[in-house]
Amino acid sequence: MDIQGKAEKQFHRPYENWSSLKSAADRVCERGVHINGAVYSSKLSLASIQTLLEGTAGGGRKRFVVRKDKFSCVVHDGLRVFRDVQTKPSVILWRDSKRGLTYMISVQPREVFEHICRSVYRFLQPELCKVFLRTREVQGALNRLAESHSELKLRVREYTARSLIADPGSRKRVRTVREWTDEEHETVFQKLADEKQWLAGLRLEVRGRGEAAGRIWRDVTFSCESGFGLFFNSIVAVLGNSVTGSRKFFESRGRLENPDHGSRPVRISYSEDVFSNKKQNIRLLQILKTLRDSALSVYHPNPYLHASLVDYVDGSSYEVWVTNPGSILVVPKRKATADSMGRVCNFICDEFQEGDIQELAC
Amino acid sequence: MEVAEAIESLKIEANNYMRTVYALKAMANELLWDASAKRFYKHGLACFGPRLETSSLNRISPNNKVTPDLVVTVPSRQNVLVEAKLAVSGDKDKRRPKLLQVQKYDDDLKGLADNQRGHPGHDIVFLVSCEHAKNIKDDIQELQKNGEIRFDRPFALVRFFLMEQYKTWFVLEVVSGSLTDTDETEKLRGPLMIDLVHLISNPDFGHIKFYDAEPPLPLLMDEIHELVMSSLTREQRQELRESNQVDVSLKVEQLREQMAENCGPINTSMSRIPEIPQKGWIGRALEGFRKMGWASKQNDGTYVYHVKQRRDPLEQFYSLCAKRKCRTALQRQQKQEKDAKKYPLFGDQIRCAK
Repeated sequence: MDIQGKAEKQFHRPYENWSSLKSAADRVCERGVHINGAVYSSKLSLASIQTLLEGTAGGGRKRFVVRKDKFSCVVHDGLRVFRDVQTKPSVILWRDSKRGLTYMISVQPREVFEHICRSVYRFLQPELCKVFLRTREVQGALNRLAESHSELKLRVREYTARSLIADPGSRKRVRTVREWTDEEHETVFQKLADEKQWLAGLRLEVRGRGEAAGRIWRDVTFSCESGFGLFFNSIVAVLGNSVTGSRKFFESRGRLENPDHGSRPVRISYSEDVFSNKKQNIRLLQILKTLRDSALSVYHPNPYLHASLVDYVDGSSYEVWVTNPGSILVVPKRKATADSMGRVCNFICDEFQEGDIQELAC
Repeated sequence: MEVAEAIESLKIEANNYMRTVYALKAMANELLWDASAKRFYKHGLACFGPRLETSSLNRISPNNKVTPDLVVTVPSRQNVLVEAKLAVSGDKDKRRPKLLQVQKYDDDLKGLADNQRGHPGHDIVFLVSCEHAKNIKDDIQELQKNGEIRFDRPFALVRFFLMEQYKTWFVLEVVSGSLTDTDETEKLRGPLMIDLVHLISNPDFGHIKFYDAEPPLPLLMDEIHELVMSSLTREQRQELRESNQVDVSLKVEQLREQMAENCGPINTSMSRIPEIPQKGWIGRALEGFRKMGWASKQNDGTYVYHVKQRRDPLEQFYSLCAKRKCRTALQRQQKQEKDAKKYPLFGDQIRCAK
């Protein structure tokens, strides 16, 4: 068994406290194995998560095996999807009940980690809520970290971003760019703003009391290459605060949760008049049609846009309106979970164009 | 009639219906807005489709029940009764009887004053789409001149349309007549432009999708599909994900109540609110699902809806209704041709009827 295999076997077990998990993760990192992780917002306790995961799926089949200790549990996926993986797809799961966060980490390769995360997340949706951060939120989080921990030096070593393709003859409308660099995070965010790009992911180095390096993505997943303790307590912790804030923003917006006051719409605003070109209405509709597990009903495409979107994952539904050239209005209908609403808004920001998601003020 | 042509005509019909609903919302929004205080009147009430009773002196329908599309009441102000007309015939002779019917609201309507905290009297607003406004205005003027129509209460003909001027605006404009409130009349003569966002996000009536006229079937089916999806339990959702289908039992009356709560008008004076949507509309929509194979009917009259993750549901509903429309048109044409052959002497009249 190679280093990866040994690390998987030794690491994937339940832990009784945070320090034992952190020490194990640090040891794994020292051997050059990357730790992949994801942060979710959730009000479910560890015991409830275990109960739900141990329940049967459709057809009466049990999918997950869960082993639990005081602090964390380890979840093994019963499906063997990856033949070349030495152990079953597994993930360690624990809660930060104070901030309402649930973490998942694994030392398995990224594609295996993504597979099990997706499976567990889909099983626990919408109670387990995935949050997506926009460029400004990641920037804000890193700024807060730099201000509160002046001893830490943050350097961006690589970033991936997306931007619109201006050429009307192009079949693709959004390009992905990847840059290798060694700059302060503020400089990188300034560049993104200047070039009208939105962030997809960053590779950061943290220097302070020790050193750490790793990547973060806008879906609040991360991959730590070295110094897990420092990386987690600095970068992941500060992103966790943004996750809590984002969840709160998208919570309680459907009519079921606001019986006396109607639903609470949000506006995705752009700094320029994106929809002054009416072809953008059609582009937005085409993009919305590709949202996974959803159905779109178009009532009026042009000059104003009016459509209805049903999220089949949890039955949330929305009306989507474009009534002015600089913004999209997302109006929750009867039911709208924070998980679904965040996913829909992120999909628009990521695939159409990133904008500011704001409370609608009439 | 081609299917594509029928789909287009259904889409226009659905669009007109939605515009009419928005016109009623726009009227409610305007009449409830206190322009001087820049907020809605504290005790103002928009009552969509209240059931009122006419007096024995009513010229059109004495001692009967009437349901105007909207009544707006604001304490210490005159009530405003609004009737919207969705489809108006291009034929003058077919149009006029419908206009005469509006006179049934020119009466001391029971239920208006006692139940709605407003003034006992009321003004009448006849709300029509922009394209019909000129014809209706001319008709009313002619009918008034001939003494065939008269309104003892203040009456205003208001047209509505959507306008694109940087933003999308819903426009209301008085074409003829006036209201008791002269300031309001002047505002509506303006014309009055309301930001569509205010109507979409209104907490009291932003959710309303239907008024007291049967909506085009595809719109209703689309709303039912959404409601069923949002009502699934965790276990049903899990089953849907794993098995790609889950069956849900639907009872017409229960579904009607849920739909009324979801997209019908909700008012405080519930006793005077008609069933919106009506039981018959729901029944027809469920039959539509059955014909599409999306639902099956049980012996006890309940329906089993086969929930699946379906793409483009609204387009599928349009397609179903369009095919049915084409089939009906074809059957009618075949019958007329058969009749023309059977009764050759009346052939011309049969062709004219066609």
